[in-house]
Amino acid sequence: MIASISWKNVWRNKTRSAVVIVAVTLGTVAGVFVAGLMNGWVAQRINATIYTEMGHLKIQNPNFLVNEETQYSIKPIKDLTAYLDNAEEVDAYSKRSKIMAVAATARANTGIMLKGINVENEKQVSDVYTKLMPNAGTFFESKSRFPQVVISNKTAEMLRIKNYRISEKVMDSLKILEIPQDGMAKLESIANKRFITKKKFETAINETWTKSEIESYAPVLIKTAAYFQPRAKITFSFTRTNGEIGYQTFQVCGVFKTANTMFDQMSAFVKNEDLYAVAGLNANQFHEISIVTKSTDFKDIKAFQSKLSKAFPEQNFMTWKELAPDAGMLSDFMQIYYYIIMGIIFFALAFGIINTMLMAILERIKELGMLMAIGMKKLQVFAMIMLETVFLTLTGSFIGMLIGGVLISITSKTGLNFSSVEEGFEAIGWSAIVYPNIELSFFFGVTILVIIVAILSSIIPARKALKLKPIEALRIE
Amino acid sequence: MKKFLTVLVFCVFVLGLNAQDAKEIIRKMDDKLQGNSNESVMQMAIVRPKYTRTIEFKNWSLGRDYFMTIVTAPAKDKGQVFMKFKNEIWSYNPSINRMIKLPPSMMSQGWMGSDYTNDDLVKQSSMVDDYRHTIVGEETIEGRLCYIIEMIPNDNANVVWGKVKVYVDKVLYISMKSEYFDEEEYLVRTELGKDVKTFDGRELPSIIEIIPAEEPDNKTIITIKSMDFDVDVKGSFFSQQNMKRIR
Repeated sequence: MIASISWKNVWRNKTRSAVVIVAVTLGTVAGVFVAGLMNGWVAQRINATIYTEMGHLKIQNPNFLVNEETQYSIKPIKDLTAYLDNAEEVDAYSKRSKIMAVAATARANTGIMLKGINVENEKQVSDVYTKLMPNAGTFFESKSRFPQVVISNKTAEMLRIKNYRISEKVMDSLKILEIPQDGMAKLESIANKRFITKKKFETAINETWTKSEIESYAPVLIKTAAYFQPRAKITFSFTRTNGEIGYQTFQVCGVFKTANTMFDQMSAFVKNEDLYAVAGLNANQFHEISIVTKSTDFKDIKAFQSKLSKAFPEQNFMTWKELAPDAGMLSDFMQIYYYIIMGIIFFALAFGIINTMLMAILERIKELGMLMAIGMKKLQVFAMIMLETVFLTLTGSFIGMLIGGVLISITSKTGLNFSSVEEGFEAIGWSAIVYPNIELSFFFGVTILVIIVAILSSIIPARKALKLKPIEALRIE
Repeated sequence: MKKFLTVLVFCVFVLGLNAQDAKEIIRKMDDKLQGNSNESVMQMAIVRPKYTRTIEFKNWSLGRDYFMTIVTAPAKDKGQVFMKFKNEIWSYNPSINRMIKLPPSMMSQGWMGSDYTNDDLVKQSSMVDDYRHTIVGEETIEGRLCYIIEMIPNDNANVVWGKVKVYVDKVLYISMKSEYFDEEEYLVRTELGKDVKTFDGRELPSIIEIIPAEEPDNKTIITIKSMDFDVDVKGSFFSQQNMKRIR
């Protein structure tokens, strides 16, 4: 009865109610979408942390954590692998030997972590093999007389293996991209020249093209003209187990790129059979074992961790939250963070709601006096006004959540591209293309939040109404 | 058939001879610079677009495995000692009284800030064994007729270059010019030998210039002040104790 009066009251002054509803709708859309965006981002980061970089659990020799020296390998390796083979918690695991090395080409050098892997096992644990750059080889699928290495795009840039050249092929593909004849003709002067860095190539483009041409076509040009030196070789030098310097030359077999530049910069993969002998290791010495567990629930991972460390007290076992504390913190804290965003938005909206409701009360003093005079109790008046506020706000937020949800489900398929600021994002490990997504429970949370906000903001208008004396109120014109 | 065989044998012979020749030339060149043991005084000028730095140092070497250098000027770096033993480099800095073995990470850095890397010092002896050599022509450089020898690294050699071209004087067997190429055969670095002088009965270029191809403003110029061959140094001279003692 009261609820139906309240609902009707909402629609008595349609314009005024519509204004508040639209405000709440926009606020909710913004809040929901931002939360979805952040959530998608965090989910991608955590996914990458686990399924590209770390695995759920990692086993290492505790000494290796202090000093990454080759001799600190995992000790009872046979017992440990036998244990892992039989453990029902384990989905897959990969053994790696890790050697800090200096990679050198004819032009540059950089420090890097060489990871000696078994290709098949590695594929089950890490999805790096799916992150290969187009036209940049394979993940150990081609045959070669040389030992092969898979490096990252960033490393290729640093070692000057990624070069830029406007070859005839590039010219042809540029023609398809509707670059005007004029601009193409200017490129002739730098065609077929090789530029070893992006910077040098950009300087050359700046000299030939006008500003407007650069703005509209330079990114495409740089992308199409980039290529990796075919059959490039990299000489790695490292400290062998006996303390001497070892050398090994690898041929680049593939180039990968993940969303995390820090990971990319530090990682180069080689087959373990090409690595262990030159490093002075034997075939059964490994520095880390990365495990993907069957259950993705963190409690189960934690339980498995303590089970393992009881069985092998001399080794170090770390969960992904310990290995990547930033990602771990995000996964714990983000839920609260979304509600904080929503809370701030609704706190601001509450002032608008209070204002509107006060207006509605002032307009209806005579009517409220009448209702009280014919016997409506104070509690009923209070309930009526409170429900009116709740209906007003809920209508807006329902529409808002609907629009926000639709937006998220559309963008979760297409992805949001922030490639103009790609470099900055990827430097801290965040993907530049985001696929927003949000859990259904978030909408329930928002609904509860909205009701609370509505009730709180109805207190002042309701108090105002309750203070009215029926006799006086009736006399007001 | 007989004719064909003759031609075949001839070809094999000539090609084999050529390859042998080229390798032999490089070996002679390498020996000439090395001697059994030597003692030398050199000056190195590091030319950069904004400044030039000059370092003077004294070297001793024995065979291919032992090498010791002490910096004698400028005053700031004076007394720094570097010792090469097989493929290790040790460094002693008297001002902090510290002896360190250069880790792999420092091997590819320039020696004393020059265009010479520590790796060049350690690995230079593999010029003969790590490459396949062919004579590809001749050219006159600084008025001297030179063989042009193309060196392609062996498959299992740990060499960063894709190709090296050495111009070796036909009479004196000294390198007048070396060009280093990357895998795509682009020039990376040029080494020039200039101003041939006689040191202890051996004629050698007294100035060696190293020019990185992409930064022509940067150069390293090494000038040999004096060089004596087959001097009296023993293996025991190349010790950590002696690194701290020598002046």
